[in-house]
Amino acid sequence: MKIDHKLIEKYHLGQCSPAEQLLVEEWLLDDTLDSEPLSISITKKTKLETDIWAELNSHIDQSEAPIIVPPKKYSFKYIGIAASIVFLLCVGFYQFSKDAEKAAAIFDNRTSAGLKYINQNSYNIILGKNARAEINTDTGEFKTSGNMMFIPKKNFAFSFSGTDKKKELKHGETYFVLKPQKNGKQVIISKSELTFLAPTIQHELKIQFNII
Amino acid sequence: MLSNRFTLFLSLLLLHLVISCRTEDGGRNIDGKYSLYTMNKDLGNTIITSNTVDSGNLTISKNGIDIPTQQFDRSIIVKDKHFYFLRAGKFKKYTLESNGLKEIAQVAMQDQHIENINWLDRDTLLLFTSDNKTNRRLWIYKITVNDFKINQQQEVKLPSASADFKILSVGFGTIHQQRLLIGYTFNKVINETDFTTIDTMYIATLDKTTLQLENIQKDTRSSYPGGVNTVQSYSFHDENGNFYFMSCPGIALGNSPSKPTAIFRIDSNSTHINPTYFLNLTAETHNHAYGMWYLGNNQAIVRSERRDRYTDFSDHHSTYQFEYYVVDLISQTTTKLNLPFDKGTRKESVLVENGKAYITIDDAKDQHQVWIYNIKSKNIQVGLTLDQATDFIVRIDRLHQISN
Repeated sequence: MKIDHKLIEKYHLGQCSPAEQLLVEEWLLDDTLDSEPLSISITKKTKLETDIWAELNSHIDQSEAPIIVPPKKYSFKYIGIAASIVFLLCVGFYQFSKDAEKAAAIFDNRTSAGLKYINQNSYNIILGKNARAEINTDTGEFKTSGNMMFIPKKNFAFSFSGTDKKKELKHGETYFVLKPQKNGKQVIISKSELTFLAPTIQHELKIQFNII
Repeated sequence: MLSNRFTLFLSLLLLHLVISCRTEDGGRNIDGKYSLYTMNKDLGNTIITSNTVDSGNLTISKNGIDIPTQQFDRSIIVKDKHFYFLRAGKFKKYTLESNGLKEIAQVAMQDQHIENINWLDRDTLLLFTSDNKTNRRLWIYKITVNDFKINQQQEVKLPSASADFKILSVGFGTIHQQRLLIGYTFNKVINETDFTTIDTMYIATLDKTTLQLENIQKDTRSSYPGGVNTVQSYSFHDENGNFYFMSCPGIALGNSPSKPTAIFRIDSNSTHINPTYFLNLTAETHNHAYGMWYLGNNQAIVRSERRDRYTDFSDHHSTYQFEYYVVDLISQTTTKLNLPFDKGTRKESVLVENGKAYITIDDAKDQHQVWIYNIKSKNIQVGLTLDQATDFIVRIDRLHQISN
C-alpha cells in the first residue's frame, strides 16, 4: 500500500480501513517512511521553475559579483519587515515596468520560415512564417500580414482590416489571426471555433503553429 | 520535510473540499440514457446526460459535466457507457464521473489522428487513421474495447492520385459483401485558409481479414465522399443491406463547390457504386449539405447549408443557416422540415430511434433544443431544452445501448 492523493481523499471521507488510516497518520508524522513523490512530472516541475525564474529575472538586475554576507541571525520581526519591503519594491517595479511597456509595438518575422514567440505584458503573440504585426493597445489598431496566434492576457477590442467594427478578443482564449480574404476581410478564429473549419485547414493550422 | 508534507496534506484537503462542494449539488446525472456534448458561451465544453430527451429543461451549470478543452473535443466517441478519444499519441477509454471523464485504459498510437471509425460489433472498433506528419498515409487499427487491446494494426498503401493532391481524407469504411470498403479522396492545401479536393471519389476494396488491397474504383460525379464520422454521420446501410453515402464537396469539407452534393448507393449484392443511382441534392436544394442519418423505410435526413446566408468559411459556423430535409432515397425527392435555422458547421445533431428523429438545434433566438420529428406522423415538437449558457449542442448520442 502506498500513499497517494486517492488514499488521502479516502482518509478525509472517513472511508479508510483501520490499516489505511494508520498508514496515512504514520506517513504524516514520520519523516522516514518511503513514499512516492507528488504526481507532478519532472518536466512540468522544471518548466514551472524556469517560468517563475524567467519572470523574476526580467525584473531583477543581476549584481556583478555575489557579495558573501556572513550568516547572522535576525529576529522574525526584522525578516518580516525586510521581506515586506522587498515584496513592495518588486510589486512597484513590476507595475512600473508594466506601465512602461509601450502601447504600440511592431513584431516582424518576415525573414523567417519558423515561428516567433513574443511575450508582452498584456498578450502573447506567435508569428507564423513571414508574418508581421503592428499592434497598438491604446488605439486598438491591429495590422497584420501573414498568419499569427494571439493570446490576450486581458480583454481587448481591436479593429482589423476590412471592417469598422471592433472585434473583442477575450482573456482566456487563443485566437488565430489569419490573412485577409479576397474580400479584404480579416479572418479571426478562436481556438474553440477551430473544430468548425474544414479538417484539411484545421490540420494545416495545427501543423503550422505546432499544436498537434 | 515534515512541514512540506503538512502543506501537501492541507492542500489536498482543500482541493478535496473544493471538489466535494462542487459535486454535492446533485444535478449531475452521469448515467442517463442519452448524452449531449455542448460547446458553451464561456468557452468551456460539457457533457450532459439525461434519461429522456423528449421533454424537460437542463442547465449547463447544474447538469453539465465539465470536459477540459485542452484534452477533448466534440469528436469524442460515445458507445455503451464509455467514451473514447485519441490525443497526443494515445487512444484512451473513459467512464463519465460527476467531476469529469475518468481514464480507465489506453493504447499507444503514436503520431496518428482519426479519419474515420466503424463498429464491427459492440466489442470491436475499426479505426482508420492517418499520421500527423504527412496526413497522406492510411492505417487501420482493429481494437477490442472490452479488454482494450489492439488486435490488428496495418498500413494500407493507397496509390497516389496526383503529385499535387497529397492529403488524404477518409470518408467511410464499412464491411459490405464480406469486404472492407474504404471511401476516400485527396486534398491540396493552397494556403493556410484555402484548399481544394481532387475531382474524384475513390473506393478501395480490401480483404476484410488480411486488409490486402483488391481493387480501387473511381467516380467523378462528385468529390469528397463522406467525411470524418466521429464529428458527423455521412453513410449507412438500409434494412436490405444497400449502402448509401453522401459526397460533401461544399466549403465545409471538400471545398470543391462546383461539384454537386449527392447521395450514392452500393447495392447489397455488389461492391461497386451503382453507376445509375445518383441523388443530386444540390439540384434539389440549390445548396451543399453535410450530414446524413437513416430514418428507415428508404428515408434519410440531411443537414443542408444556405449559401445566401453566410459569407465564407469564417462565419459558416456562426451563421443561422442550416436546414434539415427528409430525402426519399427511392423517389429521389426532398422535403424541408419546418424547423428554425440551425448553426454550427458539421454536428452530430440527429439521433434516430423508436420512430422518431431527435434533432438538436441552436437557433437565432438563442434557444438550444432537441426537436422531435415523428417519422410516421411527420409531426414536429420541442423536447429537451438546454439553457442559454449553451452556444452549440454539437453531439447527441445514445449513451446506453438499446438491448437487442
